[in-house]
Amino acid sequence: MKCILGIETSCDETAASVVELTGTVRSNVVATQIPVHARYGGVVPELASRNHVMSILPVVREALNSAYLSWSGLAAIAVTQGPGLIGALLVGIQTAKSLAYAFKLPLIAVDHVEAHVTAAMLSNPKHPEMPTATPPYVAMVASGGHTALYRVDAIGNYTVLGHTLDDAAGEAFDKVAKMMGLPYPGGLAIDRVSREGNPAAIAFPRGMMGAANLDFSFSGLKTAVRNYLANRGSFPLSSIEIADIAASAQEAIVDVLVEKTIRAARGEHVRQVVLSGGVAANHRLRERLSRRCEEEQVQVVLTPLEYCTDNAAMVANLGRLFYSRGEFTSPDALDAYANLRIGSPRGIRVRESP
Amino acid sequence: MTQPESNQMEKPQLSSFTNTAFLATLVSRSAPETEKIAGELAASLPANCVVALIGDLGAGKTCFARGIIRAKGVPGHIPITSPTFVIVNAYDTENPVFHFDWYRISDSLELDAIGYRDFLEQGGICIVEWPQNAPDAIPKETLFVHIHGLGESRTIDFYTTLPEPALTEIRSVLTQIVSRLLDVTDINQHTPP
Repeated sequence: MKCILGIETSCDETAASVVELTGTVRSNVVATQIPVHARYGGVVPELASRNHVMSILPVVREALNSAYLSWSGLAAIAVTQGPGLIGALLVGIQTAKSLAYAFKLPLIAVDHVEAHVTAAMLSNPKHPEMPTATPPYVAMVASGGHTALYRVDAIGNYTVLGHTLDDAAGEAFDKVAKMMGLPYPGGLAIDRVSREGNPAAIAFPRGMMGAANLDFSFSGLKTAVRNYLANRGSFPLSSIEIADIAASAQEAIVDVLVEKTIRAARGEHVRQVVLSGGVAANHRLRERLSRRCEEEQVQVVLTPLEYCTDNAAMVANLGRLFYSRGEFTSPDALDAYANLRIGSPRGIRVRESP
Repeated sequence: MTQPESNQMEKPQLSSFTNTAFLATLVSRSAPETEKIAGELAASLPANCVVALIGDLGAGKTCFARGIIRAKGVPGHIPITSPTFVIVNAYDTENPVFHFDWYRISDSLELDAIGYRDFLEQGGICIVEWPQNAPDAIPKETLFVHIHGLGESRTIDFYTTLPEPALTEIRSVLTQIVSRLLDVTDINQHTPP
């Protein structure tokens, strides 16, 4: 069975993956940079950017090796062209172009957000019996850089239903964690300490919950946590207090994400809801969304964790779907677009404002 | 691999700028008001300049940036979101506007790697949040905006290293904003003894 090689370098992660044309993931390699970054209390893009160059070839080789595949087993190379950090994107694109030229393989340009939106079409490697995403569905993509709701009617046919007007949900998690002095990565720390906390301890604001649209705002939550911490005085936070603040802030974020996703599913009359992006790893969000979907009699598809955070399996997956439709990108037209918007024609230079 | 000791090296400070002229201090009573103040100020900014926004998490830096970016012609349907994760958002207005966030940056070498100097050379307005993370990458001619305060209202201090005539232009616009804010304060909050 021929395979697609996927390459992803849009921001912090260098990743490569081999996916069969049928959708079986043969390998999914992410050069996780958390150990390097953790020392600095945050992700350090220059290290990431330098690491993309340093780690891209070993990561690609590892993806092929662990898939027990040689170059002749590949049908095409799929690569993320945006949105993201321009210098980081270019590393992946230049690598893909060079490999495609050397091994005479066609190229397929992929939108990073589109890859997140469709990642749940891959079956869960640990639970193959679980349902996969089948259009039409509503997808909630929540990560450090994105928070948006989409309607998916088919590959290439998406409608943006709503998006954040300020901070992404993952950013809200990270910054709240930072204010409390929790370790990096903040989203993971909040998820962990929240289990001991009372989610109703502090009534933090639910941004845009009352608004009729499906947009989000998490900037107010950040300010509310800051004011809360300033008002309580400068004595050290006890672990119970940290757990309560974390659980309450998490609940404020989860409430809005769940409620707006359910509203979207109702409004769009779809039978399936898909949760994707790095924030989809949050246990409370998974649990609450699953429960609400059950009440609404809508099927919930939780994207497998390894395809939630930035990865290349989702890129290879989208690549194979375009491959099956005979859609490729010419090497001359393949370029990086920092501001790429979902639904933009692939490989064609789109100048947007912005 | 990285050398941990490089992290302990003494970092350049923003306060090392000489010839910094104090412009004004004003008080904003809400986030929408902060955005409005930034919008009014935008017209007085020179075509090419850096606006450095200093303040804690949740102080309202992105809010202030949004006011400038909207005033430079980015329509309401295009969201102006936090650049924390992507480091920079570019807006294709008549005169380009770049919205940087150096929250995840630890020194100017990293900025070189993401092409910050290329952005600067393109001209236009570069708005920078968390400039203190790489002070040596802040050019000599910059408008510094320091936002502080808790609750709803914010105190905003303005300083600049910009030369004339920009200095006088910005000062005069700030004076107008201050007097407008004082007028409103008089009507709404002044109670006779």
